Amino acid sequence: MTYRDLIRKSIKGLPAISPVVSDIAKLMNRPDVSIEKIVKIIEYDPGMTANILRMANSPYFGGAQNINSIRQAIVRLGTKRLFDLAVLSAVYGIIDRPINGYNLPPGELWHHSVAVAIISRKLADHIGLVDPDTVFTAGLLHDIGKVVIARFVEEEFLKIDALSDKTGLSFEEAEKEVLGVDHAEVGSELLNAWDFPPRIVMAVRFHHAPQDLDRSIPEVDIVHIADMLSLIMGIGPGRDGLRYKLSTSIDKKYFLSRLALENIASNALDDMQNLGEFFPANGGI
Amino acid sequence: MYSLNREHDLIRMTTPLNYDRTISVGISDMRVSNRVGDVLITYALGSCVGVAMYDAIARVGGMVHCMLPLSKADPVKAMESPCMFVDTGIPMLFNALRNLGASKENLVVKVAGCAEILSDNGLFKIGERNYTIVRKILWKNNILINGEHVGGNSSRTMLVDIATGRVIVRTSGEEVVI
Repeated sequence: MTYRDLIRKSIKGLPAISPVVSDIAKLMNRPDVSIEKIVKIIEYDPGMTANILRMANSPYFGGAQNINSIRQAIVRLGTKRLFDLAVLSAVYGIIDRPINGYNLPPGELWHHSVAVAIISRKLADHIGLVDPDTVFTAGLLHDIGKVVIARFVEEEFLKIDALSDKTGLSFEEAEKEVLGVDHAEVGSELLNAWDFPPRIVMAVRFHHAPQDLDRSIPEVDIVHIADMLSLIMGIGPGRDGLRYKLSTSIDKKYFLSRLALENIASNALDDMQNLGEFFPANGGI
Repeated sequence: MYSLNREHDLIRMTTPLNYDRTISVGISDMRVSNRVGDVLITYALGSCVGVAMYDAIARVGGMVHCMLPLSKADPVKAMESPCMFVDTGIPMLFNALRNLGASKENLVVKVAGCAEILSDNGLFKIGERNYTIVRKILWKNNILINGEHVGGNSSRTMLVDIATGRVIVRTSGEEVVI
């Protein structure tokens, strides 16, 4: 059995993300979604309901609005924002674990994912063109494939490492060369299986290679830039380090300046702190 | 202050260290100490720069972890969080050490970090520019860099042992005293 087959098999073996998220994700793909339906789905899960209410009242999500019910949260924050909150709550337990193949200690993939989500949202606000909530969720999930692929990366680390060192391939290119798939592709397959909206699946699939798309998709570009910026800031580089490449001329497409990017970086830390307080299991952010 | 909790990095250290307290220096943070037994540690320096200063006579040391080169990128932020930027962070560290009795003539300065992603089309170059500004500020103040571990594509962890002034850098499984 090739690594590719083994990895495919472990995707199937992975427990589904909270059924609540899958159910809402399916609804998000439809234009005629009713508030009542979403309220019902979420309130079925008391843990998630409590988490969502706590986050909805946090400074990052508007703060001090006294949101006391899921219904109020949807009315005040909108269904898309609520989906962000549901994904945050559901995904925490999956990506706060140690990710051994990449040498990420407990909580570090979580910090990195939150950073990329927050920076993606800031980039979307800055650039326009895309829905900030979509890129927030895509940013949060962009590296979820690492959870699946990590143990295979661990087995073949020396090979991947040497290949990237010798040939100048980025880490995920070397990963694909050795394992047959990379963490981006695995992540997108996982999200597909969980019925996530196609824009989010695409952003995860191409977050290291937006140039491979025939036609550029701004959501993909934004998550890509946010990922690079987060690694530069030192939030989440593991054993793979900073061995990744910024896609050519992507900055010119959006008239991104160095100053704007540094400004986004300097403001992202506060937001991470605000959001991080709700997930203190690993000493907080 | 944003900081990552990676105590295990310290446990894996192979260089013997005699410490009873570790003080974590977050991103855009600075810490100083004159207590023997303290170790200052900062995790995950990507393109960020860690600057350590130590006065062996006064036996005081400190470390700053700056994310961006110049405070003009965000002057408002620089007021509330001066250690975020190299040009405001290094003077903060210097003044804090002087208040603890350090003098400029005795300062031993070590620098780590400033890594880059493999290719960035010249867009960020944050590591390289952080390093340039560190050199410029120290040079203007007649302070030499006594040791450094900078550049490349790996992230680094940096420690300062307050008892000895030893500065250790951990990167991709390797450990170096600089």
